[in-house]
Amino acid sequence: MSEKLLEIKDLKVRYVVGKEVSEAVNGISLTLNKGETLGLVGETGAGKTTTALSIMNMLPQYVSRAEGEILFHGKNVLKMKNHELRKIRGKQISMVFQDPMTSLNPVYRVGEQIGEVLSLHEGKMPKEELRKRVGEILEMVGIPAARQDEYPHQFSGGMKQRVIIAIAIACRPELLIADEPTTALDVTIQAQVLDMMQELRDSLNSSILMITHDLGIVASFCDKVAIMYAGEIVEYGTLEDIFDRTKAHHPYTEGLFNAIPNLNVITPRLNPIHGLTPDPTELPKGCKFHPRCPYATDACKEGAVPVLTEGEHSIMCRRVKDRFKQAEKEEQA
Amino acid sequence: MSVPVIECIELKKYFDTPFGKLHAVDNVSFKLEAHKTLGIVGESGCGKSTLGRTILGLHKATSGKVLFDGREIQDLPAKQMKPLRKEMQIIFQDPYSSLNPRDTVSQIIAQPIRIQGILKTPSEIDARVQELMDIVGLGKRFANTYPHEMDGGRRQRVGIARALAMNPKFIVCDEPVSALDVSIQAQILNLMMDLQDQMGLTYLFITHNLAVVKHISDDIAVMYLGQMVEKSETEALFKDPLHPYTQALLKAIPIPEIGHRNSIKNVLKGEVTSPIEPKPGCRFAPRCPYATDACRSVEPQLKEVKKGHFVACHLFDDAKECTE
Amino acid sequence: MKKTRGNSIWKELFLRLIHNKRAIFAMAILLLLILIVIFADLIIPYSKAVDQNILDRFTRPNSSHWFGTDKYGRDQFARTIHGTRISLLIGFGSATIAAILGTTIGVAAAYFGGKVDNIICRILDIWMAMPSLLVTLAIIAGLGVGIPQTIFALAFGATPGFARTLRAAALSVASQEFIESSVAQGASHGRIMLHDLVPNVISQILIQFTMNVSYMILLGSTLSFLGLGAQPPTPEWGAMLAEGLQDYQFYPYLVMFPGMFLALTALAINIFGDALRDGFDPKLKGRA
Repeated sequence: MSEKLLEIKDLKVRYVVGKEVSEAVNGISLTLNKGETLGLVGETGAGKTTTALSIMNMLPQYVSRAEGEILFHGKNVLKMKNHELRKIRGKQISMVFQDPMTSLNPVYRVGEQIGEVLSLHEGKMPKEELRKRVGEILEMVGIPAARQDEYPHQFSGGMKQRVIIAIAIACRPELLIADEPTTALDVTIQAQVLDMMQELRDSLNSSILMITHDLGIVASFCDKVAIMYAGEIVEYGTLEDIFDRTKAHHPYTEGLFNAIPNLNVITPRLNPIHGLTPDPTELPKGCKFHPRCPYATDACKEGAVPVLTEGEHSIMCRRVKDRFKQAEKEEQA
Repeated sequence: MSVPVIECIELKKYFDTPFGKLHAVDNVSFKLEAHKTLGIVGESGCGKSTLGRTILGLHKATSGKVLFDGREIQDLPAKQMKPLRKEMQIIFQDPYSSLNPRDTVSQIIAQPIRIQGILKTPSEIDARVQELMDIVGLGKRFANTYPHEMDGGRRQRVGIARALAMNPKFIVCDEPVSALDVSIQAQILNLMMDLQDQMGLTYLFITHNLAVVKHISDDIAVMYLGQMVEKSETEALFKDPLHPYTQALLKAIPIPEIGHRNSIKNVLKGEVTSPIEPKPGCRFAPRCPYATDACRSVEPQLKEVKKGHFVACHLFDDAKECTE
Repeated sequence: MKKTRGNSIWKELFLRLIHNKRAIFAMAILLLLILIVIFADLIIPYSKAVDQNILDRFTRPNSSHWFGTDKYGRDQFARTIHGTRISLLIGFGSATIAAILGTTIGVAAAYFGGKVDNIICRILDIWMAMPSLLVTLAIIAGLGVGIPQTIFALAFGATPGFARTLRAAALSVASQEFIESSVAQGASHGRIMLHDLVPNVISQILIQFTMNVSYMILLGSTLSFLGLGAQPPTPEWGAMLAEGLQDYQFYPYLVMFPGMFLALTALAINIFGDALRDGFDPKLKGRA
C-alpha cells in the first residue's frame, strides 16, 4: 500500500467580508498518496484555489476562517506556526500559479529567483555551486543554463511558466500544487509544459495536485480525479471511474461531459447545464446542485446528501444509490 | 455563384513598433458565403483578432482589399461607413471590458439603435430592447441592472443582444466563449447557432479552441504568425490535416477520454518566433519537423491541393493545383 | 463568481460618504460656506463691509463688531462673510474652467492616441515647464487687474496638470473593448468621448476638481495679497490678510479670522476630495 502524503479531513473555509459570509469550501475530505497525481476539477468559484491555498496555509489572514484538518505527513498544516510553515513552503510543498506573466518579479534575473529558493531552504552555498545548481534546474525544464542571467521579459509565456515550475521544483518538493498551470498558454506550448511536468513527476516521484477546468488535461495527466461543485467534492474516483461513461456519475459530472464539444464525436447541439453556479454567499439548501439538476426530487431540496461509495469511487448524490446497488447485485450474481 | 458576404484580397495589417514592423496580418485572402461560419484558428499573437478588426475597419488596413457584398470598404470615409456598420457587428471575448460599466443593460443594448437613428421614440426603442433581450434569453428584470452585477454568461448575452440590435448580416465573433465556464460556454454556443439559423447570420468565428471551432464552423482557416497556412471544409481539416502546424495543433489537444493518458506528445520543439520583421521563408520552418532549406528561404503560397482544401507548404509543391 | 448587489454608482458613493465621519465634517463646513454665500446680505449688509468709520478704527472683537474692525473702521465680520463670496467664486470658477479644458484635452489625447497624443503631450510639457506664478502674473499684466482676469489666469495655470491626470486615467479606459464596440456601431468621436470615456473617469475629474478648488482659493488669495487679485475696497480673504499683515503685531485678530476661514475651507475641500476618491474606489468596497 502506498504511503499517505496528504490527508484533508472535513475542510471548511469561509470568507467574511463585512456582513457577507462566503462559503467557499464546505467540508471536503481527500487523500493523496506519494507519487500520485490528483486532478481537482471544477468551474469558477467551485473552491479549487481556496483548497490549494489552505494546503499551503496561505489563505488571506483576516477575512478567512478555516476549520477541519489538513495533515501533511500526519501534521496539521492549519495549526502550524509561521516558522514551521516557512520550512515546508517551497521545500516540501510548492505551488505553481496560473498566470506566468505576473508570477515572476520583473526586476530580478531568472537565475536569481531560482537561486533564492535554493539558498533559503538549503543554506548558503558558494556562488559557483549555486550557479551550477540553478543551471541544472533550468535544464530540467528545458531551458539552456546560459539563460539564467536574463530577465523575465526576455522569455516567452511558455518559458516563463517553465521558469515558475523550475522555482517550484528547485527543492524537489514532495507535493506540487499546480493551479491551472497551462490555462494562459497556447495548446502547443501547453503540450510542451505538460510533457515536461510528466517527466519531472517520474524522475522526482513527487505527488501533484493538478487544479484545472479542462477534462482533457485530467484525462492525459492524472491518476485520481475529484470533481468540485460549490465547495464540495461531488464525485471522486480513479481516472477510469470518472471517465467511463457507462458507470454511475454525479449529474454535475455528466453535465460537464455533455457540455464540452467533443472533437471525436459530431453533436449537432450541445447540452449545457441549465442555470448558473450558485453564489457562495447564498448557497441553496440540501444538495447544492439541485436547482440545476434534471433529476432533482423534493428530497434533494432538504437535508444532508449521502456520499455513496463503491471501491474508491464515491458520489455525493441520492440518485446513484440504486445504480450502485444494482452493480453490487450483478457482481454477486 | 452568389457574391460572398465578405471577401478579403491580399489583406495586410502591419503595426509600427520600436523594433520594426509587426506583421499582424500578412497577405490573407478568403471568401465567406452568406449564412456560413468560417472559423479562424490560431495561437495567441497569430493575428486572428487583428484580422477580424481589420475587416470591420476598426483597424485601417495597410494594404489589400476588403469587400462587403462585393463593395470595397477598406478605405471608406466614416460617413459612408456608418450605414454599413448596421450590417456588420462584433462580439468580444471579454464580457467584462466590452460593456460600458456606467450604463445599464437596456442603455447598452439601445446604444446602436440610438446611434444609427433607426427608431425614434423612446417607447419604440424600449420595445425593441425588450424584444432583443427576449431573443438572447435575458429576463426583463435585468433591464436596469449594471454589467458588474451580472455573471459572465449573462454579460455575454448582453454583448450578443447589442450586436443583433441592428439586424446585421455579418458578425465577427472574437473568442466569444473563451472567458466562460464550460457549462455556460455550451449555453452561449447553442444560442449563437440558433440565432444563425433564425436570422441567416454569417459568422467569422475567431478562437483558439479547436473543439469549439469544429462544433460551430462550416469552414476553418488556420493562421500562423499573420498568415493563413491552411483552409478547408471543417470535416476534411480534422480528418486530413495537411500543414505540419495543423497536424501538431490537432495532436496537442488533450482529449477528455480514457485511453489518452500520457497521450500528449510534444510534437513541436521551440517557441513561436517573433512576428516583427519576419525572415523570408516559411514562418513555421524553425519549429517544423520536415523543414528543408527551401522552407527557410522561399515563402510558400496558399494553394488548392484538393477540392476546397488550401494549404501553404512546400511539402505540397509537387501536388497538382486542383482546378475545377 | 462575483455578484454585487444593485446600487448605482451614485447611491453607493452617497452611502459611503455618510458613513465617513471626516466626510460629514467636511460636508458640514462646505454647507455652512454655501449658506454664507447665499445669505451673506441677510447676515450682515454689504455696506458694513466697505463703509469706513474712522471713529471705530482698530476696535478689538466685541459684541457689536464680532471680529473687530480694521484701520478704516470697517467691520471685519462683514468683510469676512462677504469675502467668502469672492474667494469661493475665484476658487470654484477657475477650477471649473480648468476642469472643462483639462478634461477635453486629456480625454482627446487618450482617445485619439498616436500623433495627436504625442503633439498634445509635448504642448502640455511646454505649458507645465513655465513657472505658473510667473505666467499668472504675466496674464494679469496683459489683461489688467480684476476678478474675471484672476479666474482666467488661475485656470490657465491649472489646466495642464489637470489634462495630464485625465489623460492617464482615460488611457486605461480607451483601451477597453466597449470603446471599439461603439466604433463598430458607427458612433462619432464626440459621442464616444462624451458618453463612453468621460463617465468612466468622472471620479478622477471630481477628485482633481476639489483639490484644485482649495489650491485656487489659496492662490487667489496670494494674488490679492500681492495686490493683483481683488482690489480694495472689495472684501476678499487674501486681500484682508495682506492689509492685516501691516498691523498684525498689534492687532492679530485682523489676520486671525480671515486666515481661519481660509484654512478651514481649504481643509474641508481637501477632506471632501479624499472622501470622494475613496468613495469611487471599487477596491475599498465594504470598508466604508
